[in-house]
Amino acid sequence: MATEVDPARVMPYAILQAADLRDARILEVGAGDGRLTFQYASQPRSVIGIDTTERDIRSAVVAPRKEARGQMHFLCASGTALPFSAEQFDIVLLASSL
Amino acid sequence: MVDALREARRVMARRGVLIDLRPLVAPIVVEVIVAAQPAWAKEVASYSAPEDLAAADAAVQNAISSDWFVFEKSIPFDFEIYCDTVAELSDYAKARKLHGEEIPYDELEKRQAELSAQRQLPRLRCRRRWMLSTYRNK
Repeated sequence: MATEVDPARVMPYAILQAADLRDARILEVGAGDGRLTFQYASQPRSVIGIDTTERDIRSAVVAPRKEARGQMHFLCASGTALPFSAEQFDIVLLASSL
Repeated sequence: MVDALREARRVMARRGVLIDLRPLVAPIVVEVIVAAQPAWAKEVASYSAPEDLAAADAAVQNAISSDWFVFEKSIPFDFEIYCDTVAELSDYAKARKLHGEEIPYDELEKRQAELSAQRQLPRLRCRRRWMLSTYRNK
């Protein structure tokens, strides 16, 4: 079986409990390889995941996206200099990135 | 960290929600489990970058006192990792940069071997306390 990370999906469940993701525009800072992103992606209108580790972002870009409802994009960027215009997102998720 | 919060606020719609998700500075629990039940467990004072977490707390408090965000709620939860071998658990601890008290790998291996000898199927579990907090953009 090897290593299983959060098999009960406690983390995405906590996110879904914490905020109304339905039809939301979400920015996830520290998205890594998208492991968490894919687990809540069935509800939002769009998700952009960013991370400073290029290898992880490349993995996220090519990963299968069965659960995504809306648009999903990943790009290499820093949370301290976001390449987005103002007031573009309904939810900003700082995933272990503060 | 303050820069990250400032940027988050800039790109967030009015009344948008900030979700801050990170581990707590709390001991982890390592266990040998059989059929999801703990057969042996130990708390280990091993953390990833406690100084960074303290700085993150200070940055969030600064953002609140600057009227950038209003605190809404916190949801604590246990984040679990299951491994078949001590080597896998060690790889996880290295990847997460857990440091402080050493995880008792020898003890875990011994307990796992004892249970295996009894024809059980022991696995290793590592539990870390996390906190999800939400803040509303003002």
